[in-house]
Amino acid sequence: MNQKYVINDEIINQIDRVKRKFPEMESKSSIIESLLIIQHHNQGFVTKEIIQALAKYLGIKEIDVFEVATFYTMINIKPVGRNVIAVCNNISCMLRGSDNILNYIEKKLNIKVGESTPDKKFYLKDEIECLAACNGGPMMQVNHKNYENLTLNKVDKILEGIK
Amino acid sequence: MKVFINNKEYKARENETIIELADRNGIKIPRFCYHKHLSVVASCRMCLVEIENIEHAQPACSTPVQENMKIFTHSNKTKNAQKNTMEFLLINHPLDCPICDQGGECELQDVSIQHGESHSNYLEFKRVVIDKDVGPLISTEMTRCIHCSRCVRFGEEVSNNKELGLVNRGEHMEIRTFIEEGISSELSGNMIDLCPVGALNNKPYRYRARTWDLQQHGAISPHDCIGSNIYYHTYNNEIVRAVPKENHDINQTWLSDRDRFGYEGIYSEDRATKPMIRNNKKLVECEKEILLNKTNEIIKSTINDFGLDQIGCLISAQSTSEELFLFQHLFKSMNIQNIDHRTNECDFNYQENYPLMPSLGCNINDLDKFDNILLVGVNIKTEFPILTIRFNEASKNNTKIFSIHFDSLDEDFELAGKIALNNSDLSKFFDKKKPAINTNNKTLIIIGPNINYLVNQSQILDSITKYSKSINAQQGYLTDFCNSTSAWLFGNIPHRNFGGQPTNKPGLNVSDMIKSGLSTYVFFNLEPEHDFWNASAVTEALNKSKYNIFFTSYVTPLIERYADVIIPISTFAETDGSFINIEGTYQAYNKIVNPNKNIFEGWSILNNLIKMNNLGDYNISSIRSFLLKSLQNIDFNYSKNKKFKNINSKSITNNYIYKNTLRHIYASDQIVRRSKSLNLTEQSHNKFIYISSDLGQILNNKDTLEIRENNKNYKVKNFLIKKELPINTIVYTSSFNNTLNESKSGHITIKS
Ligand code: SF4
Ligand code: FES
Ligand code: FES
Repeated sequence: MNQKYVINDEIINQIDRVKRKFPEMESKSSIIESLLIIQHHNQGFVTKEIIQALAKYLGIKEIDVFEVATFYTMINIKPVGRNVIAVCNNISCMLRGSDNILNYIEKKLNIKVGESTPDKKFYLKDEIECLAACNGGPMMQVNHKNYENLTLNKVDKILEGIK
Repeated sequence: MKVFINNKEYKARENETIIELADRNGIKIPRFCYHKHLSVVASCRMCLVEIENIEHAQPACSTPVQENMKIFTHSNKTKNAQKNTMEFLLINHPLDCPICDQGGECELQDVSIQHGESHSNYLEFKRVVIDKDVGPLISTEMTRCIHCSRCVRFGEEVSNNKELGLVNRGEHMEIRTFIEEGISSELSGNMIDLCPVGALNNKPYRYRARTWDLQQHGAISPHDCIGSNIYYHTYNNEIVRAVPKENHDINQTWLSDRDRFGYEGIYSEDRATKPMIRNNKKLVECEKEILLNKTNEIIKSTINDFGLDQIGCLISAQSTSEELFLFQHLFKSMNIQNIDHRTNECDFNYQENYPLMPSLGCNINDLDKFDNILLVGVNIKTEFPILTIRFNEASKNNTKIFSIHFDSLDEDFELAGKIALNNSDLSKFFDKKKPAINTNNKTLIIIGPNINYLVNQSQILDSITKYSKSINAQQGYLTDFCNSTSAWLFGNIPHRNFGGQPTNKPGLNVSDMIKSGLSTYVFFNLEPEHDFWNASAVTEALNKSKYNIFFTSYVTPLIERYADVIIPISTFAETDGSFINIEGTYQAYNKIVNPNKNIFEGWSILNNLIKMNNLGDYNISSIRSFLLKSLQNIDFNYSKNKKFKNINSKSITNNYIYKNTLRHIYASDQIVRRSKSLNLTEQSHNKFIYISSDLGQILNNKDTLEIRENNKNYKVKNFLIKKELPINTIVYTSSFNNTLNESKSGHITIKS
């Protein structure tokens, strides 16, 4: 388990490009983008070893990277399913019944929000705030694509359409 | 600038915030996240106040004052805002005050009584946060955390060693370390003080007492030469914890972990608790009178039968000023000149040219006024952790800090340069001008205690002194004990008397005393096992001598074996005492706890002997007033202190292998060495023997080092190779390995 993660040259190049966008002393500014880059190459999640390696590379404390990685929901710190379902949970959607939609998906996939299906097909993301489609609430994003004015029927169709 | 608070006019400073103005004038505004030494985040909202013509109440901690601003700290709007904030803060806070150590000194408790409601509208479940084990010094109860982030900002801004962070967000937010890590900062205890609630608490103190039953005693910490001001809290005549006592000029509101938890060593099981004398080869308990008579008899008979120069008197510079004064007074009045406190050193050629006493070269507050600071032979992080905060301030203030040492060591502040050199290169290093140091800049060179241990200390001191003269730099010292200043100043050295007066017949230095095998040794506050440059030579000397008198707080195996008289004495806490810190500030304190009935206060037992010999009669106040009066006439002006001139030190060449000791943070004095909690820390587990990679190559994968030193052979195992070490060096932490006790810094050869 405790194998050291080595950031490969391709990723280093990309991180360096991010670093150049910020003043030299502000290495913390590169955390988010760097994490996203590494996560993209690591099946959608980052590990303790990745965080350690990145902190070392950026010359900052591990906890600094960890704070960012746990704060933003777009960074996963454990393995997740291939297809990401994000049901908006904010006020407009909630008033339009997003709770029902979420409950329904939980039952359908037999997982709780924040979990992935055992076959790693779906990941039902937690803590989804307003996704800027309030006029179409309740809404969700599947793999970054918006689906609005959801009904249980629509949800069935959308999920069935996914490989 | 005119500002009105509650309709009363106040003079405000430019750029001041409301809370600063209020604090300056004693107007109370409740707060959690605000702390005067931390950045402002305005996240808790407890400090909301009404300001005229502004619709909503504003946070006093982040709102700057403006001309004619009218602020109301007790209006209905203010009170209402505070009440509502309080209600929110308490939503998830457990009401477990009866079993919380913070109870009675909890900011949340106080503020909620003053500003909160007696009931809550909240009916849902409270959240629970799982506790983490972060180490032996801090206990956590994270459900109590109110997310003020003071602990996080402390790591980010003050200690510059961030270990706690705000992880997750919203409802799930919690304070924790990185996955499974503990807290290992040398300043971690400050987060206990900063935490306004009972989330981060003092672990060794856990459930020991309730705060309202404690007594508070102001004192001076004896664990380094900075002289941090400290409060010891006692319960039933026992110290149960320590907290900082604010002193803007020294430790501000902080304390190092060593100062905070070091006192535990007082309660070690090997305390000397009864007077003993040796009778027919066995130590037997005796009355105080017999003890004193026997001690006096030994001293007298040594002088009569063998001569004044056959007695060697050694005292630790961790002793109080009163003790140091009386010790030299007792012996020097009898014309005994063999007195020394520099037990960790071996090269004394420098002594004639040494200043009156060691000094930092500036006030602690002024460290950030230098353009460059050169640290020579000192690791601030582990030797003077409280100064890490000052060096951080300095480096943020554009002071360039360089470290020159025989090992490559980490600091928690930014180093502009770091260089590791072996002993011979260290002395040559200062022969040349350094391009990075501009002569027109203000430069301070600080020489650390690791230099004192070196065989070529004089040579190094000499070349540093010449160098600092040539670039017009200020030269300062950091010493290994809290009161080396007093030891020098009062004449606990063989070549000078009280106040630096020259003696016409200098005595032997400690090294010669040990080597020449005297008839009688007097040890005050010293552990033969750990406090000497060459522990095995000391053992030999103790074995050969006729009499050994130990004034001691602890009975170590060597003391038990070789003592003819054991005089159990107080530690710093059980006596009135004083220290002079490295800036030259004299600080006195009163007894914190009473010693056991058979333990004598160091100064009073010395005074008994002084009285017996008709050399005077002192009490604490007469010593102090004498000291203060005499100190007034002494010129402490740093620049006027003597400078080194032309030291003929044995020069050393590059053909040796150098073996050097690093002072281990929690082995630096006899009390700290015995602190249970500090011995459980990560640092305490980090004791090592490192060898440079060139030696590693010679060894060729062998796991045993066969060392020859002082014509003796011994073997060492469990060493590691450290790439960053300069060539031909071995570095190990103090009191780690008794097989290395031939010297604290020596020339050795190894068999390959
Ligand atoms: S642990 Fe204490 S200091 Fe740290 S954020 Fe929580 S309440 Fe504040
Ligand atoms: S509240 Fe759901 S998209 Fe805005
Ligand atoms: S003290 Fe002002 S917001 Fe916390």
